[in-house]
Amino acid sequence: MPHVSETDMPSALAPKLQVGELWKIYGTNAERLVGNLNRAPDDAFLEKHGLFGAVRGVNFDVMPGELITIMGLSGSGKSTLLRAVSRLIEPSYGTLLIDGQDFLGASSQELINIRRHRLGMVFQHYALLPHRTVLENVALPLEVRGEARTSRLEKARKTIDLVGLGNLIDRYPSQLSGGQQQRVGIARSLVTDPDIWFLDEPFSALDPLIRRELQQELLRLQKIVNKTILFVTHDFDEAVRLATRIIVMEAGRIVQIGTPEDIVMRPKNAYIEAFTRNIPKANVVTVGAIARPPTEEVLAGILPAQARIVEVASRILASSGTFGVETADGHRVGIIGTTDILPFLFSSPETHAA
Amino acid sequence: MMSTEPSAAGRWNGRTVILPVVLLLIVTLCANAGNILPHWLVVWPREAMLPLSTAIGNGLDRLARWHVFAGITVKDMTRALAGLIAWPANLLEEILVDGVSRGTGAAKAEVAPPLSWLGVSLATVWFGWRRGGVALAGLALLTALYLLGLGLWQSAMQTLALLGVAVPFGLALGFGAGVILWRQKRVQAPALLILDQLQTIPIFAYLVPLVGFFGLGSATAILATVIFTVPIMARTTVSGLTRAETAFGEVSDSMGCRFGQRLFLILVPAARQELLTGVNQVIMLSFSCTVLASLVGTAGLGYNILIALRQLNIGRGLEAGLGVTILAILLDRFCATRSVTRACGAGWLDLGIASLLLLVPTLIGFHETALTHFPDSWRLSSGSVVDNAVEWVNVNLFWLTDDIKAWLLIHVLMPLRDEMQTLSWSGVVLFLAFLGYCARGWRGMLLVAALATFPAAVGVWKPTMMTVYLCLISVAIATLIGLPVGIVAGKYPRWGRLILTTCDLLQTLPAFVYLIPVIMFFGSGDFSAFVAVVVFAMCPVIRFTALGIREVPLSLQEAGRQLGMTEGQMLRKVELPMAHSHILLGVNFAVNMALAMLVVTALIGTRDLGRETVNALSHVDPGQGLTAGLAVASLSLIANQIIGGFAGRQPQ
Ligand SMILES: Nc1ncnc2c1ncn2[C@@H]1O[C@H](COP(=O)(O)OP(=O)(O)OP(=O)(O)O)[C@@H](O)[C@H]1O
Ligand SMILES: [Mg+2]
Repeated sequence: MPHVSETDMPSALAPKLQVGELWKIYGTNAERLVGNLNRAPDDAFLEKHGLFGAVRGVNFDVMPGELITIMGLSGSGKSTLLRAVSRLIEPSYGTLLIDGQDFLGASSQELINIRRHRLGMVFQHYALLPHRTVLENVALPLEVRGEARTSRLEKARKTIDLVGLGNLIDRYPSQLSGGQQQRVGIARSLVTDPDIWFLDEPFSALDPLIRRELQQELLRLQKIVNKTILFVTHDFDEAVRLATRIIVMEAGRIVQIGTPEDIVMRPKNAYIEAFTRNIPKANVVTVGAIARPPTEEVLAGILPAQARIVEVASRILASSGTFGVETADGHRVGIIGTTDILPFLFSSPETHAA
Repeated sequence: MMSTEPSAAGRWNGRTVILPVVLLLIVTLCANAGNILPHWLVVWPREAMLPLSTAIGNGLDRLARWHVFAGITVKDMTRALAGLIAWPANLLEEILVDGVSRGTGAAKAEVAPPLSWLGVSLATVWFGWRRGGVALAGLALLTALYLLGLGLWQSAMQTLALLGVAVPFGLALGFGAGVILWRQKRVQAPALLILDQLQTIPIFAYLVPLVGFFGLGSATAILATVIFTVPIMARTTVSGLTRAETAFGEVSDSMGCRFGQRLFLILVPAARQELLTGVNQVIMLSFSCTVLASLVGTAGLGYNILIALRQLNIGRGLEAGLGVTILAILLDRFCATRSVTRACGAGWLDLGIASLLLLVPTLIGFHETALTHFPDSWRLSSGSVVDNAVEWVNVNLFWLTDDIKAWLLIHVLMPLRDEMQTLSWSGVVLFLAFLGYCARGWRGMLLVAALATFPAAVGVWKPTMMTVYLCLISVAIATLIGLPVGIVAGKYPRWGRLILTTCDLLQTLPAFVYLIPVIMFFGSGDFSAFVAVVVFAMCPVIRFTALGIREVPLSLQEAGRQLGMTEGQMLRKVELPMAHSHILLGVNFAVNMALAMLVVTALIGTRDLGRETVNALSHVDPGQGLTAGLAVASLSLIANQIIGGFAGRQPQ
């Protein structure tokens, strides 16, 4: 079984979203067969009936304010997982709790309400309605909710300002660039002020520069609106830059779940390692993770344990001395010096592959 | 030399090319040597004939007299329904043509005159300008001048009164059916297939039962038009909504839309383009029904065409025919263009101005009759130019038209017809079934065999073979002419635009209009039918060939050039093979259009299935009409199966 323990999460807070033993199975009569089963399906069951499991027994919890990225190769079931969690497609088996309340069992009326008020979604191909202007597109979810015209246009304007498109509100989607369209998509999903925000490869269709810009934008928005985010990508760079935790999927299962640093430092298998190989590790790894046991040396200074190597590298290199590493509450983790960080700074893909 | 031909794909390969030829030989042999085959395999035995025609007749009769409750029969109810349907049409007619009056007979007094021609024209032009700018306003003005100048205004308004009910009715019903089918995924495919097939039953065929239930008059005309237009609207609705749903279904779900919001807020606007083509089709088809509507006793432009056809008055016929076309185009443009003014305030202002333009001349019309009825003295002299031209051609070119006709009749048409008449039904069924197998495998074979047996089994074999003969020869000639024209249109964009626009125009003309010049030049009979069908069926061949040639990928063309191919080699080795499935689809459409046209040509004296349906109309024999109609539909289905199969996909 894949490792899905949640022991390293703070337990004081209640999870926003809990996913338990979630399956999505495709094939002829899949629904009926799973319905008759009365227990969690397994691989033998799939094989016996010639079914295909796009998502197979996935478990994870999401804490409020977390930004989780879902990663994996094409066809590994990322989109299916996201859609099953947001019930855009009905999961075949499993439990889904939002704020501890059963989401799978919600009636269609409750489902509509939850979607109108608490879930937002951004799509890879923007899916903006071509016959509506930017303003009307963004106001649409409010219109669906039955809000009065003036108030919904007002809110839509504010949200459009938030994504920095204030001067384009009367354009049609066809008159916008891809990046601008995706900002509209983001505004549209934010206008209802949802708790949980789903994004399916929102930046994949964009060129690297704009992608970078929108990633910054997303981080900025995350700071302002502080949502719980599930973000699908198959760009590891992007995942590392954005995520508080990363879920790595392979063939419908979660193979590893953890912080970016976890995944880079301790990849579960060769598949994940292949992913992480080209990542500049100094961007990901914190000094706390590579600190040596403390020795009696003269310290040039103290570094916070959660600082990334890139952030403090110049200080260490400039003084060429040894630094102490401490956690926020003053606990000494270890020490670190120039020789410790050099391999991470000058790691080229080839040397690490060796 | 290395072969550049693509490797033969599917079931169609060298071996199977020879087999149909062998089979054809066998069939002719069977036919000519009747003593080899037992007689019942040559002519379907009378004892085994399915009495479909009488069964339908009796069934409908019994249905009509069936008591629903307390002495009220189905027929009473349909007659009441007819009144209900006719009511808005009559109202429109009063407003547009007759004026509102009270009382009957001698006590009849006009309460209000009809809308003034000046008012209607001005309002139309104004709306045209607001919606489509100068172009649409110009078209509106042109239409008004044409109709007024040639004295067609009243007929045109009568047509509009009828279509003013039939088009919205057809649109609403088609859209509703489309939405239901779109939701019921399970019945969608078979239901659409049935709808498609319904559309190939000629409208004549169900005119008779409709008259039986709903009586002569506008109700029947409206219903026949609606039945004819519903399938196409339903189909475009289904495909438009399905496509919009794949693009926007998840968005609408993620926003928490209810069904109504999903449909009207998101999917319908997103499918707007496709739905508008549906609207366009419905308008065009409805206009093409106007002549048929006049057959059941309604007035309008269609009636003018019918009269012209009966009197062989080519000038008037063409005038009325063009009137139908120009009116259809105007209406279509009105529906298709997007409003320029989007703010709702401006919309109300436009409406106010338009109603002012409409009402002021009408109010003046209470006193000044010249404003309600266009004065005759203002009309242009009509038709004489055309008539003179025709006369000249008939006098001076008579030898030419007559020679062509005689030669083709003696050397091509008659021999073929005689040959077809002697074929044994079993041989034909076997042959078609074999083609069905080549095209679509076992299932295709069984379907084609069943369909081909149907006309023999219900006793319309002879007229069916007549239809097949006319259809075969006309489509063959249409393809011979259409293919090179289509190639030119595809290869040379400048010519292409001209040719394809002409095709568009020709296709909006009601089928009846084709008959008029043809009769003028060639008299009535098989040959005229043949010419009319060739002209009518040529357009799809040209259009699809041009499309196929144009869609040859640029990379392939460049590759060909780079290999040093000549134009001829390019055409033979690259373009035609690549366009082959498009061309076959064009031929398939041509067959369907030929079958539709052949029913119309029955009016000028062919002896095929069309004749049967037209006869049924005059004898009020619904069984005969429907049987012949079903035979036509089975022919078209056979063609779709075989040609569509070879083209590699179903025609839309
Ligand atoms: N409706 C469906 N019916 C059958 N199989 C499906 C269906 N939808 C998805 N699948 C299969 O489920 C698997 C996972 O698909 P999914 O779209 O989740 O992949 P993904 O990880 O998002 O890939 P990508 O990065 O290319 O978007 C794929 O193998 C796909 O073929
Ligand atoms: Mg995906």
